[in-house]
Amino acid sequence: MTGSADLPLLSDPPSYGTGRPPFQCEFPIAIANPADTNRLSLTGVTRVRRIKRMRSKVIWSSLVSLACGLSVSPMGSAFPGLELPGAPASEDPAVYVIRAEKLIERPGVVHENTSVLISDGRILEIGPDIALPDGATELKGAVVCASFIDPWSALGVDNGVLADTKMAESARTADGLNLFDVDHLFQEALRAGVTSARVQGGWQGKVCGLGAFVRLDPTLNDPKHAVLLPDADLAMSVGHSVNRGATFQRMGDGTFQMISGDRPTDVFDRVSEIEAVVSSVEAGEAYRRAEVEYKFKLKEWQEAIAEKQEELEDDFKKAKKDRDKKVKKAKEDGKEHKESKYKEDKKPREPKFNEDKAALARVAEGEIPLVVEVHRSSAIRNLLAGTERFSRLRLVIAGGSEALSCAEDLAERGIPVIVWPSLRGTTKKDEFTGATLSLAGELAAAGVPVLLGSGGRDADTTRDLPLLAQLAVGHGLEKEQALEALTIGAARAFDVADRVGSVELGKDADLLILDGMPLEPFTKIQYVFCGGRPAVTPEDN
Amino acid sequence: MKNQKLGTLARTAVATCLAATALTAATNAMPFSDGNIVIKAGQVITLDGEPIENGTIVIENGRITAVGKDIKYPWNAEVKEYPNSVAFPGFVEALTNSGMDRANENIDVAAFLNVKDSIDPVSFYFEDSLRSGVTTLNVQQGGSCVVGGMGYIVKPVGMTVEEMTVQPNSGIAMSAAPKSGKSRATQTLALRQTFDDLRRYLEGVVQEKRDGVDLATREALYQGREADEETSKGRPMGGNGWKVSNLEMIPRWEIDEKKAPLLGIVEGKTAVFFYCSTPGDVQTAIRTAKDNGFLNRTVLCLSSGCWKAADLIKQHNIPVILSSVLTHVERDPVTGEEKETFVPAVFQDKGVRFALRSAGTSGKSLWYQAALCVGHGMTREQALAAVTTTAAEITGLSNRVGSLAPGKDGNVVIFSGDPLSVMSNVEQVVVEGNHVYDRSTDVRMRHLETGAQPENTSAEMETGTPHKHDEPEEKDDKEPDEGENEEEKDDDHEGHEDEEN
Amino acid sequence: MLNGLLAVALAAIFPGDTDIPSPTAAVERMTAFQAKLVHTGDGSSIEDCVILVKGGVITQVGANIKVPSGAELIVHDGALSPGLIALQSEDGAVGELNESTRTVMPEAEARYAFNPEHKDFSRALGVGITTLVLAPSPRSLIGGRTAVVKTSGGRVVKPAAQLMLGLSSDALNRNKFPTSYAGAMGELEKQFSNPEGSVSRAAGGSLPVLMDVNDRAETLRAIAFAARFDLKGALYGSYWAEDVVPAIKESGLDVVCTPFNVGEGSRGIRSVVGLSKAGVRIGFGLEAPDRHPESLRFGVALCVRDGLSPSAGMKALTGDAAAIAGVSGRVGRIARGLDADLVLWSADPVALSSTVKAVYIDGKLVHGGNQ
Repeated sequence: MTGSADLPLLSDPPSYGTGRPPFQCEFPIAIANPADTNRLSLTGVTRVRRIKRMRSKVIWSSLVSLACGLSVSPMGSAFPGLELPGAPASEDPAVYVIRAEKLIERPGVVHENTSVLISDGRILEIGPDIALPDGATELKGAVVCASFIDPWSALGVDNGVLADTKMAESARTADGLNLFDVDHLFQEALRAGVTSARVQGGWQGKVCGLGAFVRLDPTLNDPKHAVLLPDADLAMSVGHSVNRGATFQRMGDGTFQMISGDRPTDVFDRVSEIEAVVSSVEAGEAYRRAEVEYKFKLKEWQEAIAEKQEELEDDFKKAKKDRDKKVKKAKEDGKEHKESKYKEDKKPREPKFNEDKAALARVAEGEIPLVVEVHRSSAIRNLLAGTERFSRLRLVIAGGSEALSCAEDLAERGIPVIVWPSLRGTTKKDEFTGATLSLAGELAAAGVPVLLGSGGRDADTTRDLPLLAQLAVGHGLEKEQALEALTIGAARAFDVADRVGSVELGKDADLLILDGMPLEPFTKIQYVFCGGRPAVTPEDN
Repeated sequence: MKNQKLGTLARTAVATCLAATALTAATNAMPFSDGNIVIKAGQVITLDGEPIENGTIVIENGRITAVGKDIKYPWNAEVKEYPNSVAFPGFVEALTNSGMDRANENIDVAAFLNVKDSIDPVSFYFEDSLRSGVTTLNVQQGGSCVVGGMGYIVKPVGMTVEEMTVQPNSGIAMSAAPKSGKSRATQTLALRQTFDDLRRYLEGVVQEKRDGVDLATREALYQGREADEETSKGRPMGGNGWKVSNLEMIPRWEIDEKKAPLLGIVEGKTAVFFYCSTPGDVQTAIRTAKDNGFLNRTVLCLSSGCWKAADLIKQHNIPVILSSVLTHVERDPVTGEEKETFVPAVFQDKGVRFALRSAGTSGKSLWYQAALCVGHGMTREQALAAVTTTAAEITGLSNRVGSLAPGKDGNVVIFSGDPLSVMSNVEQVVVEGNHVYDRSTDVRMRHLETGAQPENTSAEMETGTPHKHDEPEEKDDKEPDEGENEEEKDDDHEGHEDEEN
Repeated sequence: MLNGLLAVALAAIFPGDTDIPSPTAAVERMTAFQAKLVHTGDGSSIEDCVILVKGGVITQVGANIKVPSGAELIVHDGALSPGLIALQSEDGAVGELNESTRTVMPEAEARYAFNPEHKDFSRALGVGITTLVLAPSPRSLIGGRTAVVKTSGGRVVKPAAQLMLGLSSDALNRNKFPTSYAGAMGELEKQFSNPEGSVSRAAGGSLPVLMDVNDRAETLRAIAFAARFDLKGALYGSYWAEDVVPAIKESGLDVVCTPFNVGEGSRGIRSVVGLSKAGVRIGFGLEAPDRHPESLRFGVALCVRDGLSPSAGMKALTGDAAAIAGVSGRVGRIARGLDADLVLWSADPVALSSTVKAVYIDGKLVHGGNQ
């Protein structure tokens, strides 16, 4: 998960820096780093899996390829009524040129004295000499880097949706966004440098529904612009579900303490919850398989019937003559003419549509990641063991307080862990007990891809994510790993790396202009670009 | 008791009517008397031009045939003169959840239900509405649903729902605000699934039919005879939304009766009253309506907090019905200061058509809400329109109620003074040409004000002595009573009422 | 049981409530610390500074000091600061600091609940906190006297540092006295009008008070109460609107800020920054172990992000905090004669990303690796 070495150097392509006027581009633009796009890729598995039975795997993957081409999609588009955003809001197609002394394209890739051209929300050009177009605004900055992403957030989510314990697999957090009353929270988060977040509702229930990836620009309170992905992931949680009637109360240090309920979760509850997660994925896989099989059976049947139809049409004249003879004979005999029975194969039955299983099918196929909030090491081990056979499943673990015990497996399978570096005390016990501030550093040192999130319980904690990242650095995480976790790592895990996460050609202009290196305490963020427009300027501070 | 709620005149009329005519199931209401009356009032506010001093309204067969000054009318017409009073069109309650047995069902999608099976004609609610001068009410199911039932527009007089009906099947209630047990995400999911299921069902039915036709063709080919002619007894899918092709193959009566009303919605045949309690719900409602082709038939029923979505509503030019809470109070999350917003003013400024709902039947009825608007700076015309003409427009009855103009229903309310004044009383009410309410003979009102016991009440039974009957009818042109009628029947708060947070 | 034995032992060794003298049986060899940047605890910092420590006490501080031969030299390529001071905590004493049956107990002392072996202290030590104030619970009107203790070595720096007064709604009860502000203030007036023992020392100004308040009205009430009885000391509780800052400044009281949550409202943070900029002396409470000890530096980081200068933040954690607790003669600064409580950081301590490399208490290495 470090910066890729095969990134083309900016000096290679001849179009940069030759004084050529910025090219007019239509979305989509060719992506600089193909590894950043793994959404819907049929081979989108980041690690090589052990191939047990080659033959069936080949057949299966070819079936799946066909299925993905023919798959039944939900009615209308994935988010009916709202076109998935194309070019960002262009009511104000402003053009900016930023002259940076240091441009941190992604952690580990730094360019000196570079300029960035932003137009209509996108980064159109990066190079040492960019001419200032007419009407463009020029800004100077010491350091320019990608803005931060919070991959575990509750910002903008309606309180009722956060507390909902009965979310279905197909229920979307994107439908439960309340973007009208959160301007001040958005503004504070933007000022801290966080411009986008994966938001998830329903964290208290076993199934949390589909999360959304949103951009935090308060001027874009139309979901069409704010929501980058209405279905960024499917989330489930293990260990603190309230299905036994428990209620939670927020404590001063940010933990949620169960204050009523018949008994706390025990090991067997967790085992059964993990089994539920695994069997959900299995159900999704079975659903997709049933769909694919149906498609094949249907095709076969249709071909057979078409053949039969041709046959019947060819034989019609003869059949008609025979029938006329029989009718005549029956009339002569004074009997009723009985028609001959016609038999044919029954049309195969379509599997009943189930939107929840369809969502699980997407998870089993690896189209969207499955985020499971799980903490205890036994539960994590069970989860890893149970999901090993789903070769396409993209698992992400949230929380992972005792994940260190399974660090090797996690590293080998490349399963990211979203860590919440929280300042919890020791007096109250909850699922997070056992998580220390050094968890992120220790996991990263063991080779596990680490992401940093703000816990997804309260909307106001997203603002402090950069500070929590600094805390994690102070307790063992490498600074560059922290920056990567907040930018390209989070983007890649949730399939938005083709749009945000680094300062590269073609991506949306979500970036920061600072007077020093990012994540340093005395560095002031001067400008925050969100969707290509400066949402925060020095005058705001 | 039941008979005494009408004035003496009307009582006679009812008796005559009921004796003379048989009740039919016709949707047109039976006139109680012949529906002919001439009203002369000191001031006639028509809401269709300037007010007329000493004007005359001529109503024949329940419809207004003429309004003006010095108008000729038939010599045998019944004439009512109120030289010191104000004649005003009956108020239009654009949306109410009262007067029914239960305003909400337990099931999520109840589109096949109809309020006509639930309206209680003798409910106090209708009686009280008449006392406040409300002559047209759009009775709809409440917002505690995903898709509710079909509503009716009624007048508050009549012994059966058929008699009360002004316009049947006025629209279906839907809710973007989550019903209990759901959150906004799951509510939106349920809405989406309702229409997805409908589409899937229709496509399934069409496919089955097609398969059946194909099978029949092959069977005929095999058997050597000509296939039967297929006659499509259905109609193709209409409307502006998504379409299922070849729906004409299915006769409409074959479509599941539980799904048929939903199909009517998608085809744009039914108005939709969409409940919203937060601005986010407004987005959901508009999105759902757009996706399924009924945005042009949608009326949003908003709680006070939805004023923040006014721009969005204006953008799509959707009419709205505001809740009875007109002032939205909220606390600034950063400074902690309270902020009050007068909601109708917001919509007036943005140019969105809106109607008001009463907050209670007698004390805070429609006149009160309109008066509040004037108090907050709106003009009389704007405020009065929201409870009469605009309300009629929004509910689809602009050619029948809302103002006193030839051709419209003869719904006239006689006020002792300015309709918006707290000092005025509703003295008389004429509904479709029938004089159905006279304050001087309003038994319950007199009980409140003078202590006169109504006949056959428990009080009378206790003391054992029959009370005096009501005083002979007086033309009530005296100064209006002080004070309010304190009886507040608050049975119209079922369903969604989002009070201040 | 253990607590009781310890209490007896401590009472035997340290009778009364006089200041505890510096230990004599400490490390005799001279140690020299050389660090790239040394924060002195009074708001200033010295680059390439050398600190000489002998007998657990700082003997010399300066940039151009020659390191005497025979001294153990520790060179640190980072920042060095005095040990951090948390001005309110219940570490190791959860439940032991709340006398729920008696609401007025001025003679109670938190030091009897001091359990230095408890692992809460090592957690605090690990993040650079060397001194804590154990405070009685604010649920009592007069909860007793706070104790200033060190997080390693078991030393009580000051056994009766402040008199804890609960002037907030936390001190009110449902079913027993007091149930209202009026009743609470009445009782306090009674106690202070005829003061005995510790209360009389507080009323005279020789024993500082620590007044727990939650909101603006309670703050003003506390200020008025302190003015009435000439009390010196500090307010504990900092969430109020900025218009109370002038009143606090005028009263001469210090402020111990309540620990911030992650996602703390900007109003609370701005109040603290406003207090500091107005010249009010501030320190930070911790409320551990309900909170993580890193909340101390986190709170400062929030304030620095919203405009507090880093040096003022450093001062609030060290020198000013010691002054508020009344122990500025012993801890809180790197100055001659004070205890050698030093923390070696990888970078500036106000930065959350800096790590604790080593902690020295009374000149002894108690946490972290060798340099």
